[in-house]
Amino acid sequence: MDDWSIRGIAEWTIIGYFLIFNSTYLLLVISALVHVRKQLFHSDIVQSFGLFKTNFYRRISILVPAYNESGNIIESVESLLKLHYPDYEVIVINDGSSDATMEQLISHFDLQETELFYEESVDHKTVRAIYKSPELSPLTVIDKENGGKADALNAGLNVSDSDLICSIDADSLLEVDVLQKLIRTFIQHKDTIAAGGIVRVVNGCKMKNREIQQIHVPKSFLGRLQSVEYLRSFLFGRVGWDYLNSLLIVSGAFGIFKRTAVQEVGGYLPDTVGEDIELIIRLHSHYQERNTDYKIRFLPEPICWTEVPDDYTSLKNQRNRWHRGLADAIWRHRKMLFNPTYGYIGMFILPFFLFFELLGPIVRVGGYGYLAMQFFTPGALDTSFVILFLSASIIYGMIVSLISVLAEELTFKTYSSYKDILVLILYSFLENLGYRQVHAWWQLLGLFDFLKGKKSWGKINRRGFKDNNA
Amino acid sequence: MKGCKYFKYTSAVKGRVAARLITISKSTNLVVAYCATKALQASENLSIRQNGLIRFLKRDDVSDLMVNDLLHYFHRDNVAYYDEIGKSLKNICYDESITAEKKKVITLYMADHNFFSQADFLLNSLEKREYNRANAPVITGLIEALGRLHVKEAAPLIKEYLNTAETSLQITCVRALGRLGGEENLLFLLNSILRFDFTVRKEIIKVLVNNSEAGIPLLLQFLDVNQKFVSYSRDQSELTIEMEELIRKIRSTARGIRILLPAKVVNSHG
Repeated sequence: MDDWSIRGIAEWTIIGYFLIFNSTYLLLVISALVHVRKQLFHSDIVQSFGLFKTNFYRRISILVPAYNESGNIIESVESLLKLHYPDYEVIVINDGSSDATMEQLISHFDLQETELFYEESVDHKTVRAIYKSPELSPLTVIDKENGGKADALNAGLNVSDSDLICSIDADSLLEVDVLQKLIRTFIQHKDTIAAGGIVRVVNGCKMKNREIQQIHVPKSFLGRLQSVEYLRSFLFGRVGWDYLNSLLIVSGAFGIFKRTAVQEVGGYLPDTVGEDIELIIRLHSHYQERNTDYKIRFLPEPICWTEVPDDYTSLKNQRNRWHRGLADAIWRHRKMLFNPTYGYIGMFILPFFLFFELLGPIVRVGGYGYLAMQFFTPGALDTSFVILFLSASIIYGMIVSLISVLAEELTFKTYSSYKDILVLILYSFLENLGYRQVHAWWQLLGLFDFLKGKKSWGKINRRGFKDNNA
Repeated sequence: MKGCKYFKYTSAVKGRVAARLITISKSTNLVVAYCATKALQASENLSIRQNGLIRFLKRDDVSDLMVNDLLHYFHRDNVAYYDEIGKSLKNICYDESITAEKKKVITLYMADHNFFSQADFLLNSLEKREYNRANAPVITGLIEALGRLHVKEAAPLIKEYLNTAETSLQITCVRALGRLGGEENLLFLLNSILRFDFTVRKEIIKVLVNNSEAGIPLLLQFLDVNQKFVSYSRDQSELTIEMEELIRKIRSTARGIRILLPAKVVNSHG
């Protein structure tokens, strides 16, 4: 380990990678912990009570792209129509579903075909018809030809004339006061152009009429692993990036945007599987080039619940797609890399995502492969490397995951049962003993698939919220 | 901080408590100062409340959310002090060291809470202000407020502001003129509709549809006149680029009118 041979350099690269990667996440989790507590305290002090007593809030359009969602579209729309916010509309975009999604919407909400006066500021596939309900004025349904999620969102973007658009997945579940919480950041910081909120795992929660009665960790092994992962990477990781003003991802499952900002950059990109990250990078690029003040925020309070895949194949497909999306977004915006025009996003954040998130799986899988090779090649075992490698990758990873779980309990106290907390603590160890290694392999395959030009979304099985009823 | 939160709900803010809260409200820590200023709003003494509010509004790290929240605590929807509160809000607006953004929040608050007695002040403020980048927020607020308070005398000035290039200000002007109503204002909007971008044109149509009594006949008139104009233009052999653009706008506007008008009206008009 101490020589400067190719082998020595390779070993130090592997260990250095894990040390930097885990240290960054540890730093993000710790800074996020401070940031979240400060923000929660701030929200407790500065209330939005006055905001809703005057006409100072802004109108929000919730865009719900739906493709073959006949199983849960009615419940989903009904729950969206019950949100507590004075001025919002729900625009469902049926993206050429081949099942009965559209028929169910028409019959359940008594929809009638209508014409709307709007400008096509961004392109999308042909709209077949637009429907409105005479009884439920906030509901609009667009029936269009299939063009993918981004294309559907573009259709919704054109039809919306609200100040803000909120894009969610048809199978996401929003807490009733989510919009009231989200709007605060757009009033507090006028230059906010996008904001994301916490997306939590709904699997395992007890539900009634699409309302969460009791919060629990998922029952399945993969669901529990993902719960820890969501806490580490998607909750504290993103809050940490927000703290550093460097957020690159606002989840496609739940994000809110200034409509004109999205229109200004040309809307969502249909030709990618990572339309959420691509849009955020494009917004950064656009505003940095114009040297305009802007903010992209991640808010620890607003809550969206999502169902995570329970089976191996669905999870593999999902992560493969996410990695292809990341690769595609970085490739499209490669001009930003190490370019001072794009400030710290171009100089530090995007390169971090390139080397540690996108190319990281190569080092991770390579590292484990190299370790296996040492074990199976007689006389090749370098004990000091093995100890350092396992400490930097697995033990350090466990510490970061464990701190994330404890940080969640310290700040949000989401899980009221000790059993759930103990399960999460246990899984913060287990996550590092197999799951993260397999996950790196899926990501590596995703990278290869990107290089091969694969553009499909991959099938993901979902159980739906109905099965969760208490 | 907990003490400040406690005093927010009491009427015991006087004497030493008030003095202590005033000192805390000068803190450099925004949240501490905010908390103390909010607690001061529980005082029965209007000048303590007003001074506390002004002191806080002079800071440059205050958000609109805080201003809005404090205004509610300052006002407390108290009908008995309606005139005094109105005058205090006016005095705050006169203070040069308070930014235009905050003044916008205050003017909108006055409109939302029907401070009709301050209508003249708001109109004078609009007359005196020159439109520039710094003044833009307060001018937008004033126009919106004058519309909501139905100050008909503001119409000529609002029409002038419709000429600015800022789309959001144009929309504010259109909505304000719509609230003021009257055939003259509505006719003005209709006559200038083709000057604007899609968003403003759509807003004008909506305003005219909402003012159904005077607005709908004007829209139907627009359809008739422009249909003839488009037919006449189609017969011309060569059209200039400007003419083609105008015809495109007319067609788009006519389509918008047909969509936004109640179906019954469109059907009976043919």
